[in-house]
Amino acid sequence: MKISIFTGCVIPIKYPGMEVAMRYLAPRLGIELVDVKFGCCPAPIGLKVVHFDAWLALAARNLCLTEEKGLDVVTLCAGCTNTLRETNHILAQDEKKRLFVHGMLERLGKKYQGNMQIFHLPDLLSQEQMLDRLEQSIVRPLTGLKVGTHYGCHYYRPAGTMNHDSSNGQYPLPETMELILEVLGAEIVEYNRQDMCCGAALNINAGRNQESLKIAAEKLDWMNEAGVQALSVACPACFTQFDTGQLLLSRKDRNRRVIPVFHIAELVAYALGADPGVINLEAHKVKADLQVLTV
Amino acid sequence: MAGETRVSENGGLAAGEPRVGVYVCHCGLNIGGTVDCEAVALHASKLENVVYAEHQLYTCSEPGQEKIKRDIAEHNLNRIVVAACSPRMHEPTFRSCIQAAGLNQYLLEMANIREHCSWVHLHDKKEATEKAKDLVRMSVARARLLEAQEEVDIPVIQKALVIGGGVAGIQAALDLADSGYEVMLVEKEPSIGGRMAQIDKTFPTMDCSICILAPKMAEAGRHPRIKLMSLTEVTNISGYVGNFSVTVRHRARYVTSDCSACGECSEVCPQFAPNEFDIGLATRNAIYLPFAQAVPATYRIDMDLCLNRGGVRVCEKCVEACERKCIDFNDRETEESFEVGTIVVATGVDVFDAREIPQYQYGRAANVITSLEFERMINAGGPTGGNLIRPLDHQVPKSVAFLQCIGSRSSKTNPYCSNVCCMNTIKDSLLIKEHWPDTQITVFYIDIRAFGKGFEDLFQRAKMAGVQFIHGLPGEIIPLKNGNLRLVGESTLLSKLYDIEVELAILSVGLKPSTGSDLVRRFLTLSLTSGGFFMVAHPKLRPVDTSTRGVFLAGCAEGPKDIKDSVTQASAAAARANIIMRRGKVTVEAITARVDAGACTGCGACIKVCPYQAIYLDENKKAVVVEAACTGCGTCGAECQFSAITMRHFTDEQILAQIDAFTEYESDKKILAFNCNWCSYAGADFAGVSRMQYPTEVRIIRTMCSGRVSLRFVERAFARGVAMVLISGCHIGDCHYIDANTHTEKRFRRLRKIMEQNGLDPERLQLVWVSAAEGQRFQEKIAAMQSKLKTISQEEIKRGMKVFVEREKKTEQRRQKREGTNGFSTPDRKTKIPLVEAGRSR
Amino acid sequence: MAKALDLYDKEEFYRCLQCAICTGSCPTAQVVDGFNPREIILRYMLYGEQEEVLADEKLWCCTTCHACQERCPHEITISGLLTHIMNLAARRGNLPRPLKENIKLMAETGWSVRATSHSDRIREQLGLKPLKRPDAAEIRSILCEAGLEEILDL
Repeated sequence: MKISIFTGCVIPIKYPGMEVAMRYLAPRLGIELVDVKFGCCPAPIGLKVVHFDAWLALAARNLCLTEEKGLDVVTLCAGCTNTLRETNHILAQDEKKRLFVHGMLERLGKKYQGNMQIFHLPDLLSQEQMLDRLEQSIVRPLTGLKVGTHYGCHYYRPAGTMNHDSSNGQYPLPETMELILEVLGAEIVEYNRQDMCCGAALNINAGRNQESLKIAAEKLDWMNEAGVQALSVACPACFTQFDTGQLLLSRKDRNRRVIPVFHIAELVAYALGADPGVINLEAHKVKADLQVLTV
Repeated sequence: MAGETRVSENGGLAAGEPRVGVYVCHCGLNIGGTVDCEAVALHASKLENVVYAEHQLYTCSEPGQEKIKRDIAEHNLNRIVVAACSPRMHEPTFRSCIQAAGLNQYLLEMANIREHCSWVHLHDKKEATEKAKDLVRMSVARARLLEAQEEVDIPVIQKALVIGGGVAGIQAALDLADSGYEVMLVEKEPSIGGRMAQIDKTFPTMDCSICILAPKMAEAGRHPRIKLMSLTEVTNISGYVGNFSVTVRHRARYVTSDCSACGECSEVCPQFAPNEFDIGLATRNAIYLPFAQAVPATYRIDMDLCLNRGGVRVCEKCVEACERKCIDFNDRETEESFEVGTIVVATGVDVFDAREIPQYQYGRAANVITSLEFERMINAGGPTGGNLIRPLDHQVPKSVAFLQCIGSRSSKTNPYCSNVCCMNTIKDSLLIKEHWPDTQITVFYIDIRAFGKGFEDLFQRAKMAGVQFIHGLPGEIIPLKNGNLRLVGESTLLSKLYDIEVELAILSVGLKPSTGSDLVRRFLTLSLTSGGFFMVAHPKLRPVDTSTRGVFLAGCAEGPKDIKDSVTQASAAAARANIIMRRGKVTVEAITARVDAGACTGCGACIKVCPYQAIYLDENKKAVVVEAACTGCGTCGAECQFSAITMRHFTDEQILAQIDAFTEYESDKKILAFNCNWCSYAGADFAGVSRMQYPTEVRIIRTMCSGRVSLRFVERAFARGVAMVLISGCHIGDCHYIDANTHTEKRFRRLRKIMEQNGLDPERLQLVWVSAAEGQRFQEKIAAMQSKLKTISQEEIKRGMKVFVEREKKTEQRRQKREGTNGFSTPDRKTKIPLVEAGRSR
Repeated sequence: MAKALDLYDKEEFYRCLQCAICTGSCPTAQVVDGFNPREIILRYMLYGEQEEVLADEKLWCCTTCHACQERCPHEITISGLLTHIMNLAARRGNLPRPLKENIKLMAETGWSVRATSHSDRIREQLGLKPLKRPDAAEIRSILCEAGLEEILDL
């Protein structure tokens, strides 16, 4: 399948290893990635809370760019997913907003139809045929890896807009990463308050570093209590919060047990044969030695 | 303001002619504050056949009614029109009034100028007055054609059916049986007792619940006039008040009534399953007694669990152990039919399934339980022998949290308040303190509703005993490894977050209507409130009647309530049923259908649509109506293409006269609405009571059922130049006359097609289903129609008039060819239906 | 406020029971003293204390995690309200610096993270193509046309 890749702003600059991981796993699963000159999505915790209409217009512009090529989008960041999907949703339902955005786009020679789908990477990879392809292409199964997932609020809330079915019908979390990780041979560990926000925005917007870390610390404590050995996330903001966050937390508390954090793309790429060096795992602040973890 | 007498200039009409008296009521300021009643009375006085017209302050008051009676005598009035509140309010009042003055009660007509006029057009006094005049004119037109009717009495079977054997059903059954009637008490569970049998103590008295219930259960079980049918469900109900035919299905019990409840069989039964009575906290065997005080005290076999379920006898341990030889594997389901005169519905409630709120971890964290599970645990006869222990480790908790409003007061679960949970928690907290006084108890609440007698005192006692009340529910419950639960939330009174660890959390779950009540609902065509409970005929004045005559409600089936209110309501329902049965006969309203054999062609169309199968073809191939089975819905009358059916008191002539009356002026600016007595007319009344404002263009004609609305009426309205017509009735599936409204829908579609084929705008004809609770829906529909009305051109109106005048002419020509007369087919037909005359429009 | 956002239903806030489940679910409320979604609804919608609420810097502590909205028993769009309030606060000059910088960077480069020679080098070492720059001029013009300059100078 051919699909345009929406890397977002953070991964290409701060965590290029994740981009490598994505470009590694895609062809091995029959996905052809097309690069498009996307701008910032813009971030749901950024422009959206400052100027909603500007956010909507810029998001619609990004959607036009991929629509011009007739391609659906795959995102690597929960925030980008939220922005693009919610924009689709709003433009479909709210006539006033639609007219406003169409007017602006028209003047730039663009027209938005709303025909493409937005896939977050876990959505794409957890589809039936993708899971099959994954299973057939595994080089290094993640056997023995006790992994917990953190979805990042923007990926699945608000439930109505983000169209997420609850996982096991009762707990309100998605299970896309679990499906992928299980196929890769990892052992899923649940932990308390799994649906709680990582708290990244508290730092990014309000600069409240201490308070933000308190939230992350609580989540990490629950993960430790449950016996999580590695954390899988699908968002670079959550990644920073837990990866750099644990670095800062362990400086204050040397005895803190740290858990390596991975973007789901990294775990999939590794399982499909990518060496840690290729996907730049050594750039992680918390030592992320998959070979040790999967022994 | 009131009482100026105006005598019309048309005094001195010949005897036998209608002499109409019109009374326009001010209803204080309710009508008089908006409508110029004096002007309306004056307008009425000028109408043909109106001999007397006046306006009064309170027509329904004693002086008001006395005046009517005097006027009837003095002015020889033989038709009375009262323009006042809704006939659903006072039609019976004025009917009795004129009957007392010697007039047949069917010679009364009411114009609804309050709920349908003054209350909904508060800011449009001029238009409201014009509308009132129209409504009075319509009523006078109908009144002229009203005929004296005789009501038929049919005997009432001296038996009652009570559906549901909880405390409400038991009480109603006992009251009725003690009054001397035979009662069929049907209960779907193996034992009666319902929810009250599961509760430990009652509030505020702290009585042992089963201790006060068991004697009643026993009494019901042995009462000579109560036939107790447990493990039985109602499978069909048909008929009408005084004469209901009921079919029930008895599930197989596999144990005969010789059972002495010795329990030897259970001891040896190898199969186990969670016990429903103890909410799965304990087990039972395949052969079991639901609880110790069960009535009947007969064991039963759960055949899905029993090893013999395949039909092959592989295990006979219980048979061997049974001394009295009362186990019968050959038992089978049976059906039984019987007839009763009245029915009491007491189907009760189930509790909310707290798994629907995942963040409270019910079903995942072992130490999160519901209030009902708590009742079973704290009960001495329950699964833990009265010990409050944590499910996880069986330890007595040192700290307990109650979370209120779980599954209530929420648009995500149930929107209503479940009435009993606040007091139940207060009672539970006192029970815990009684046995384990050092337990730390915290109640997290949104409001504390301690409204009843003795409730406030109990609340005080709980606080004095040290129970803490925190306003602010936790966002979630976090289960800890040691089984404790962490609650994080905000104590709003302190504006501070709390982060509390407790050893046991109890969710105060709400109540919802019991499953299985839906079947009963459909058989009896009962309405439901928005919360899903059964609706009563009038929330204040008829709180146990349903709008189906002869069917009453008791207990939580009508809405969540405590034991005292359930018992009160049950006795009330029994008393209401008693009134009907004691009288021994029920009067059939004289609104039934009559077939004119001369005009009947034997086509059978009426038979096909009658919801009650009350029509048959006699040996001459003429349709005949069984009067006692006819409910007067009018669907047959509307269906008959040959005008052979007369709907008494709601004749075609009367309805056409109403249409002709209001279309005398400015018909092109008006909307004609047909509303059915049970749902949409009540819904429009409700809009009035709630003062929901809507445009003044609409004129409502009442029929018993939307099925009565013949296309003749609609075509006449368009022929007279009416801008738009609205047909309204009960929602499909909720029709008071079972399924008559499905025919309404068919006719509506047919006429829309005809309008399209004739180049007319089909949107001028609208259909809406409005329930008695949906005043807002009616309001919105009229507002929408008024917007549409503004876009209808004069050409469209004129075109419509031409088309439908032509059609009526053709129909009349066909009828004349068929019957060879100029309007009368048999001597029964007293009035000639005039052909449409064009109405005047500005 | 001609282009003020109106994606929430004002009527629904009157259904609020002040049950405090929203505040009880809020991660920020747990760590920032004085941040309280329930109180924001009470003061802003029900008591009309709008100016006071809009002047509070702590508004920006909302992480837009939507937990409050998901758990509200009456499905009130609380995060919608908070987004709206933050939008209004920005127009009154209550806007934290990191966000200002972030948006200015977007107007300048089209992205909200600045690429450095270091990051370019790492990309090259990992075998990635150079960054594909978006059309910053077009992005900037949309920002202006949408009305961003009522909040900050671009």
